[in-house]
Formats: sequence, C-alpha cells, structure tokens
Amino acid sequence: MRNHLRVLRAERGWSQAELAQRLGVSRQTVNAIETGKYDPSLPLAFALARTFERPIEALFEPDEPPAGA
Amino acid sequence: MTATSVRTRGWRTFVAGMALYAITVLAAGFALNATDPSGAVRVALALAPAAAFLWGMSGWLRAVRAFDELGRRVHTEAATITLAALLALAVPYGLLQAYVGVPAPHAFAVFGLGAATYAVAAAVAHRRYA
Repeated sequence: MRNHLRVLRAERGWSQAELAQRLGVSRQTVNAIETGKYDPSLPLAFALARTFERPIEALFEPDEPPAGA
Repeated sequence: MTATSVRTRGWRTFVAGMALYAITVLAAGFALNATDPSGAVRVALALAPAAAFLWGMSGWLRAVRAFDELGRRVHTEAATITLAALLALAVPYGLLQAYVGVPAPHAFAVFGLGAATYAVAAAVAHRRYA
C-alpha cells in the first residue's frame, strides 16, 4: 500500500513525533507507515484521515489496481 | 489513565518484580540451607520467588498491552518466533530423550533459552519496522 503521509505531514510542518502524539502512537509507527514498512489498522487509518481532514482514499492507495479494474 | 502511564507503571512493576525475585531467591535459598525444613514449609520457601516473578511478569504484560498497534505486532511476532523455536527444539530433543537416553534439560535452561530467543526475536522484529 502506498501513502502520501510524508507529503501531507510536511505541508502542515509537523514532525513525525508531533503526528505520533496527535494519533497516540509511537514515532516509530509513524515512520514505519510513511516508509511503507507497516500498513496501519483501519481505526488508525481513519484516525489519520481525521487528523489530515482528508478522505481515507486520499491518504492511501493500493500498489496494484483491483482485479477487473 | 493514558497508554504511556500504563506502560510506565507496567515496566516499573516488571523491574520491581524482577528485583524482588532476585532478593527472594537469595533469601529463600539462605532460609532453606539454614533451616532445612520439610513438607509444606519447604515447598512454600522454594516457590516464594515465583510469586515475585509472576508479579513482575504481570507488569510486563500490562506494558505490552498498552503498546500501540505496531508495538503489539512486534511483540506478537517475537512471541510467535519464540514459540516456534522452542517447539522445533522440543520435538527432536524429546525423541533423543525417548530413544537415545539424552538427559532431560533443567527447567531454568528452558526458561533461559526462551527468554534469550524472545529478546533476539523482538530486536529483529523491531528492526524490521525501523
């Protein structure tokens, strides 16, 4: 799964630690999501969407398009 | 109570429990050697350190439960690897015990192996997401 968290975070001038604090997770978790090493759970993905005030599909997109698309 | 404070309290309980365990091991060993009791008193003295150990482990479990989702995943992976490694060792060792006469391992050796495997597995899993 690809995501645009790093860009969105940079637009707001937040550090990874600041975003982590807003989400109630560790800085390592934010870093792992940004680098694509970890896909967040649905609750955390929705929390990210709320934090950035964007729909969830504006933050995450699949690596491959869905079958039949 | 925040997740951070639950984690902190859990780790404190873990450290205190392990310290108390070390003290009770020495104290119980001294008492057993000095008085050489029998029956229920001997069993109670021998098991006294285990109570401190279990208290410490309860703190550790509380701390792990208060981790965020990636932290819990790291520790779940470490626990799974540890279980798999111990089971993979137990089967051939059990066969050697049954058919070749290899002596049974001391329970503390199994504990040490499990703890060491868990520590390495947790470090590897942590590094994978770093």
